[in-house]
Amino acid sequence: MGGKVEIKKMATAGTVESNDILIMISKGEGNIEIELESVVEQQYGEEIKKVIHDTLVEEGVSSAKVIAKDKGALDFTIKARVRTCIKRGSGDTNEL
Amino acid sequence: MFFSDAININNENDIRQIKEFLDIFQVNYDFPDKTFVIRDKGKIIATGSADGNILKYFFACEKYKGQGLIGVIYNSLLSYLLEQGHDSFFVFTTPNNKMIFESLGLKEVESTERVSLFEGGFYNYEKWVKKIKSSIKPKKDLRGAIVMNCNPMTLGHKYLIEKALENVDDLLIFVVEEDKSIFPFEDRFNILKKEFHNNPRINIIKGGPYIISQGTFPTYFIKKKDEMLDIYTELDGSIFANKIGKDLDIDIRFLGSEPKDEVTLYYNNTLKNILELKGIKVDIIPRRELEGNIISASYVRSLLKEDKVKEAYKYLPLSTIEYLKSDKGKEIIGVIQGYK
Repeated sequence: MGGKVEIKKMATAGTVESNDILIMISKGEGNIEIELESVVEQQYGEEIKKVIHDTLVEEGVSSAKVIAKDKGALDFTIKARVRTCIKRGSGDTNEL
Repeated sequence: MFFSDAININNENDIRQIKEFLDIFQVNYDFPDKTFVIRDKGKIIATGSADGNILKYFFACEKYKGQGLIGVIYNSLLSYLLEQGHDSFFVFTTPNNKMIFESLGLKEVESTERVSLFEGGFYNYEKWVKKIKSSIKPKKDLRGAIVMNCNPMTLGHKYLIEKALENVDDLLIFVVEEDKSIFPFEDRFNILKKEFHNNPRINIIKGGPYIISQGTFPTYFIKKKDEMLDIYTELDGSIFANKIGKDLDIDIRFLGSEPKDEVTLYYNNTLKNILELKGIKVDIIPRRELEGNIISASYVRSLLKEDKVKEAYKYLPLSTIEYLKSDKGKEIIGVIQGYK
């Protein structure tokens, strides 16, 4: 964890099933851009974005484009999906 | 819990199974790039495919509905598309399937009574149109638009553009961006740019995925083939009228007249009806003739094919001639002649 992690390719993690979130990640332009669509956007949109953003930063990502389609995922699900997506997108492994 | 598998196109059994499954939905399997299926006790119960960046053939058995099968298929296809480097993708479908694709998180670009276009991924219509907006100068009074393939650009195209300019203050030229033409998109685009680089009233714009050409319009979801042209024209016209025309504040769309080809003639008339109903004027400009011949790109290509390059120059503007004289241009002429 921490350090500098570079997103090298597009990747996805999660699903569009209920209580899950689908994350897509690709190379950024020097910053973190998050686009969110959620069934609970009005109530929790900003919070979900913050969880995604903080997880990226925690994992050492400072440049990425993220598209998230949320179907009511809980925070730890969101974190897990973002982490997996980073691993896939940074080329650490294909199998996660 | 169900899992998806990819169809192995070298496996006769796989192919036979998927063909039989799609038969139920009256769809012909035409060997798309990738097909995923879900099986239960060895039998296919759901499927979905990707062809280029187009998703298609989403079907699930009635009795398994509501179990998220299409979602599982979609997930597999999504990973596949991103791996292939497609940053956006499209679904053409019938409007009764809208709910499915909305629930997958795809965005509706436009729908008519008979067809819906959805998109997903990192790129979308709003981003596309915003980029164009910021690249063109503010509108003065009347703004016109032309959609062109320019394969390659001829004096006929140039004439149409000049005629259009007589009627408007500025002109947006959308170059069809699909690589099914002999002249590569980048080259077709650059020839136009070069020809009009010192005319501030002309904006040459990449057509992107929202200027759908008839050649690339998928027909797999249309059961009655004779409705194909109507369905295509409706979608093409609706996107132009409701989205592009509105967002870019276009007043007049210019079309070239079609003296010979019945399909194009029909398309022109239908498009005119649709656009004018939505408040965009349509001007059909008669094509330019030279020595009794209508100048067309296909005529130019046929001259190039017969190695009558000098003859072809008579129908071409300077930028196209210069291009044909370049190494790249010579290569393309070679390719055209290879089709002999």
